[in-house]
Amino acid sequence: MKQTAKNILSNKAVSAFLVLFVMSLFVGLKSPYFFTAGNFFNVLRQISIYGILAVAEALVIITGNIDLSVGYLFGLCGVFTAVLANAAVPAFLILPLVMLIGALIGCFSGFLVTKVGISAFIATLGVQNICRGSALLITGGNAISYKSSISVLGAGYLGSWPVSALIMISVGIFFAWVMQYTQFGRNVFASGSNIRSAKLAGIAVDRVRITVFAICGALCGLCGIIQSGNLHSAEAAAGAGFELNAIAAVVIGGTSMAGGEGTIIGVLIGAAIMGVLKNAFVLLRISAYWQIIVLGFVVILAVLADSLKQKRAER
Amino acid sequence: MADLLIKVSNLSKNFSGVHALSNVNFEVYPGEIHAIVGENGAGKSTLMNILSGVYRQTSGDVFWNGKIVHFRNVKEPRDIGIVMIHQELSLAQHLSVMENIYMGNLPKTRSGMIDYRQLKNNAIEQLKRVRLDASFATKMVNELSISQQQMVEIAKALTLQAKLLIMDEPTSCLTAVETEVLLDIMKDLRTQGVSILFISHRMEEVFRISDRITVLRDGSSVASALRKDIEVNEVLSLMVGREYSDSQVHTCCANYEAEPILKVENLCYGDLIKNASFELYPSEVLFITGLVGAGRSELIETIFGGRKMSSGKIFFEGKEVHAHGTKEMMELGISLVPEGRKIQGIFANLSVADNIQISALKKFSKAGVLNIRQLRVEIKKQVDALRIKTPSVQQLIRNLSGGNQQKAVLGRCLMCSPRILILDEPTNGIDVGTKQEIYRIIDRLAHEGVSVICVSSEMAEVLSMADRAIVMHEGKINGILKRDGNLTQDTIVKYETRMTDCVQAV
Repeated sequence: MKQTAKNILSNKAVSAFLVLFVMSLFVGLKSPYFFTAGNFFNVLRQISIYGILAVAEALVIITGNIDLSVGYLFGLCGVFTAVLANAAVPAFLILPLVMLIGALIGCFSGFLVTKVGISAFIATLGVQNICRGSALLITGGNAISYKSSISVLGAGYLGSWPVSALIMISVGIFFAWVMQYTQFGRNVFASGSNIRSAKLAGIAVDRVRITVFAICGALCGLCGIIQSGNLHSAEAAAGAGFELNAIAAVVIGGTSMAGGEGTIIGVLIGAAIMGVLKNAFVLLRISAYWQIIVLGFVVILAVLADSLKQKRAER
Repeated sequence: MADLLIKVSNLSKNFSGVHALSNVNFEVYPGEIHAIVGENGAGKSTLMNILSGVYRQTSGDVFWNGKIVHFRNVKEPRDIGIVMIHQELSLAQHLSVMENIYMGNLPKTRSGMIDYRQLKNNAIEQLKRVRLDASFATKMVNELSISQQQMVEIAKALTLQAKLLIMDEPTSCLTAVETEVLLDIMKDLRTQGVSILFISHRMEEVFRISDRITVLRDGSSVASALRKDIEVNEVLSLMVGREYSDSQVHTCCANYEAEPILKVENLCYGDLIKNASFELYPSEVLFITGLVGAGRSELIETIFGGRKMSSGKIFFEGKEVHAHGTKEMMELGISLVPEGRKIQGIFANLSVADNIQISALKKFSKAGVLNIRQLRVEIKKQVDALRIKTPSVQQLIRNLSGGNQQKAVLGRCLMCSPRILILDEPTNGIDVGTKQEIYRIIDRLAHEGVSVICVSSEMAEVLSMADRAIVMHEGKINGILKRDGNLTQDTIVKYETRMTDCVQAV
């Protein structure tokens, strides 16, 4: 048991956690409001979408691919949520339907990458535009507001816990388990580590990769419901730029862009670091534009740390 | 006796406390071919990397023409005439041969443009020294065979006024005929006054060509002697640190009376495999040999489902196999240890445990959830049975030596309890001790009823291990030779080079 515990909390996740800890301590010293329960749940609510998206993106990145469509895909899924809600579809059907739509679009990306052989970067860039265009077409460029009890996933609270944060935590725990303790999870790592070896070791590599894109799409659907539920309205641009933030969280959390390496716990910590960063700039009353610049540097540092470690391993 | 070219004195290297080298001593004279031999992990590569400036020694000295030199980067040794040719060739695949030879040093016209005529003439001059035709100068590197690329690497090294050429296993990817050419070129260079320091696992060529042999074991030089003063078995014993004997390890136990377990009929794969037909019997050890590029790996990968066959039929225990992918073949009980373990064998950034268990996960899981405890027991079994040396199974596999990595890949296959085990060049780049272990494992498996197909370029291996040997040439099966019949070195060479001009050369 000790061995597996060590596995889950591999070095990279631990160092990401230390960064989070030091950052929190620093912000806490500067602003007494930081360590209040209210702020804690606020940050948690803010990072719930990043967290889920980052887990989705991490799965794709661990197989050695990338998905640039996640932002606009979840925007489109938000739009579908609004359309379905306005068509008086009951809430308990909206969740599976929207996630199914997301999964199908993810499947399409996976199909393009594995069977057609288009590089993931280009294929998902195409899908990104398809999603964006479709969402604009449906909404006519406006926000669609709606009323449905499904919005509890985005706006609801359980005690003082935001429902969206609880969803993120459950998604994180579930996939941390899947990646470590199921055949599928280990196959994901193997496919990303060395696709040729994986194929010759009898792993249905294409199926694994398509499944991962589908899961990523389904989680985008979940994010679409949360985001639109939070605002009780949906628009095409709701997820604009989120893909880069998700990728940033994945990288900060110690996942290798080359594939085959990474932990879900690390990815969630990566999302938390971004959340605290964002929160800090608000609390310390620094321009939000600085936050974007700092985030850029943090991502570069995280990748630098990874490549330095890589080089040392080779020496 | 001429003056020393290079003298290595008490050279040591620590990697975070681990002794990779300790007190290595040897000397190289001008115009000498000097072989460095040792098992995997003996420190050969570390030594070469220090001499070529990749690593810096922890202690000890290197004398070049009698003067102490300290290399701070890879450029400094090159400037004084030490050029290393790595095992993985490093030519730019999409540039021409001449551009590769003079890369970074292209001749210019007075106006500063590249002088292509001069470049071509110079390149042809260099190509002559490595026995390549003038027409190669303008060819793209990716049109060349591995051996030709190696010649180009040597030509490139010669333009740098190399006085000492370091070659890391130069013959490991070459066929018998190509090896002959390379050895001839090495002799040419020797007469031109160039010294060569080369690593090899093939004793036969070490003893044919080298003037002096240095043996490394566990990071130390245990002997350095003129070739004429030392015997092959002496060297092998020094390498492994105990008495060495190369007795026959495999006894035939094939059951030719039984129905063949695998039957291949008129298998085609594009232009690479043409109408291959053969049978594999229970407990048989069947070798596939031939020149590199004859289609041996393609044949077994097509059978295994890693490549999609163009036409033909495959029968497993008399029944035709229809669903045909690697996954389906593994479910039937066929496993493959692929060629080139770094490229398509191991998962470098995963643990030893992951590398061993990955093919057998289905067998040890319920509804997709792994039975971790049972897996751990099974992995331990493989690690013990194959004697894989690793501090723990959680260790990343890239930290293991090549031989142990190969054993882990073998363990991955064995964990699926295969009926047919296919091995592609399983002993390539592996030390003598581990080679013997792999031979013993093959023999044991055959006696346990497993049928083995093994692709090999190494003549000695084919002759000592094969019950039967398929010889391929340009995608066709040219002959199937039988032990205690026509399986001899001469027949193999005859069959693998049939229809080429090289037959007389051998």
